[in-house]
Amino acid sequence: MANWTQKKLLLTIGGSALFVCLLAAGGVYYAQGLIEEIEAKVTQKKDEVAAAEAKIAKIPALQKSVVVLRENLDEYVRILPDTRELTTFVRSLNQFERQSGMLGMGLQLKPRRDSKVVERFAPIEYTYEGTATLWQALRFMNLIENYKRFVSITDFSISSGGSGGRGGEMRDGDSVHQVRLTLQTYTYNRKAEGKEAEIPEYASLKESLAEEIWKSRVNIGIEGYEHRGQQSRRDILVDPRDRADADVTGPSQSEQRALLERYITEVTRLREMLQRSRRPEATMFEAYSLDKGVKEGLAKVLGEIEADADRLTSAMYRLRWAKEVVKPVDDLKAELADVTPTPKAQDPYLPMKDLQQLVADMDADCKTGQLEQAKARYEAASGRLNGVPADDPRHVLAVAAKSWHVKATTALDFKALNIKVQGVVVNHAGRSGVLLNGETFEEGEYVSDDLMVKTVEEEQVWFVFRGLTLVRTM
Amino acid sequence: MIRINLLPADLRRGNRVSPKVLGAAFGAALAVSGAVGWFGLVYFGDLGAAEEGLRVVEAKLTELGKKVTYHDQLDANKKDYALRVQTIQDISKSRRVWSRFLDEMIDVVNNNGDAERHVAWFSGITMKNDPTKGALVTMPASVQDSDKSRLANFHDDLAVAPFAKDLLSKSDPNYKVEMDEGRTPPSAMNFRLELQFKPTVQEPVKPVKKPAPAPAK
Repeated sequence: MANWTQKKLLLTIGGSALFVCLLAAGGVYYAQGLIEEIEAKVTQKKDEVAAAEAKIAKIPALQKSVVVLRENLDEYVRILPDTRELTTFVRSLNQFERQSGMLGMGLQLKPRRDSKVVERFAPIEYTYEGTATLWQALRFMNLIENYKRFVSITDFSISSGGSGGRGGEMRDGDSVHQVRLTLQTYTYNRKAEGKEAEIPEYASLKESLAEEIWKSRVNIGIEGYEHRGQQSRRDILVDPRDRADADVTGPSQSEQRALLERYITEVTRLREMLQRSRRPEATMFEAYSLDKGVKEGLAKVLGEIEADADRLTSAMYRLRWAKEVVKPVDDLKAELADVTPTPKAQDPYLPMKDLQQLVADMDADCKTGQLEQAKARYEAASGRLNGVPADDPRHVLAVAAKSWHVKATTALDFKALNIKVQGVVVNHAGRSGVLLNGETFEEGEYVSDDLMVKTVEEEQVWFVFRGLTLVRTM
Repeated sequence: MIRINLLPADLRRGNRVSPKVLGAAFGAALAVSGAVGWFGLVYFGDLGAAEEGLRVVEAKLTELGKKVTYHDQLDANKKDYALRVQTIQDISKSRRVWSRFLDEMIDVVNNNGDAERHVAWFSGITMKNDPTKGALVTMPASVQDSDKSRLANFHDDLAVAPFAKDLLSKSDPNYKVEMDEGRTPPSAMNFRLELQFKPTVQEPVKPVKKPAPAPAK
């Protein structure tokens, strides 16, 4: 080295330095790569943290939704029977048979589909067979469809049993038909539920969300229908034409039709007479003679109607008979009973029924916070409420209505008072205090002549205003 | 003349380290220490800080993990409950009240007792339900007499019956006159009445794929 030339020395020094520098630069490059990699990871993790925080921020709302849904789901599934209730349903079928008159011949459970997966909603089907008149079958089907649990009639067939004359069975004067129904329901399998999140303080959360649970409850009631009964309608599964081989002892169809028409004409005539007698321009003598005519005509009709009803055997005319003769005759009787009402003294007070309704409505209004409405109801009828004598049975109700009016008015006046509850000091051992409009008051102290602080609580302050205890919340 | 240099070799003028070499050595040392220092700063400073940052973020993520799991469980519960509620709603909506239909059909046939417009009857009623296609009600029907207008009246009344709004289709008027001498009147128009109801279960609508945009000309 000592013999190295200067040039060689310079080259060696420069080369070594360059090598070390390059090595360091390489190291830096490598470290930068690592840093970038870590920073990318950090960014990714930060995103995950942000996403996690976003999720966590949603937890309170999610908890509420889950509580509301879980509570409502429990309500909804009530329409579906569980396995135990299926037995009850089968028992109910027996009851429906008794109620409707259906004669059951068999109930078969349709084989279920084999499924390895445990289904949450498993369909169950029964095939029911029986005999019944059309009205019995309809009543039976209606009872099934109005059952408290969900049962659907998925298939049905009603085969006409004929008109009964040629060996066909009759029940209650109607032909008996063959009825076959397929009934379907679902059982709710709670075991198929997934893992439920354990929500801390579930009970208190549920209680605080009671209103929301109720509000968001979708009406999943089972659509029902009230079967109207026969109502003089004819059986649509029976040929209504006259049979030549039938033992015809009564009038023919044309005679029955003529009989029906005669009654309809007479009833129409009587109705018109009654309407004429009710016209304001009818003189007293005219009204008297018309009423007399109606009464006589009606008496004649009533004398014959029962005997003639038995002669009207054709199913085709029975409905018209019921609608166009029997009902109008009943209406005429009812109207005639009102023709000469006994003149009653003019009653200055509200009738008992209306008064009862008024008190009930005011009660409901006050309890639901509709104070203005309660007040308005009373004031609209006040002219016929004041001064009901003490010996009148309506006196108690009039007093009750007045009492509700006073309460509603007082509550409205209290609501209008300028009271600002600015703070409370609750002393469980002694008297609590409240800061009202910048002034402090202790329990039992009067704010004004007719306003006293009764009780101070953390969330609300109770006042006595004109003898009525009312509350102001914070 | 021969000169003899008696100075030690390293002190001799010709053998001393030249200032150039010294300068270069100094410069090289400076560059090397700078480069090594830079590397040290990057490796132990920036990289260490980044690793520490990562550890902090990972610790935070682990800390949030339980709550995230709870959130995910709640979310899964919510979706599950909503699905179950939907299923129950679908089940309850899937039912048609057949006692109502029969009552309405009896009203149509009875027609308020008006035997002039039509007098119809059935020899049976069969209903077969298909949740997706709808229920099919089949009734072998008869209308009294051979007056075609009565058959048309009956079909007209069926078309305006309350249940008609739920119908997908109704069989068109057709008939075959048959005589039964055992009856008065003996003639009746027989036909098969079919009422196809709309399905009560709606098939979910499949999203339609948008056609690919046409290539620009």
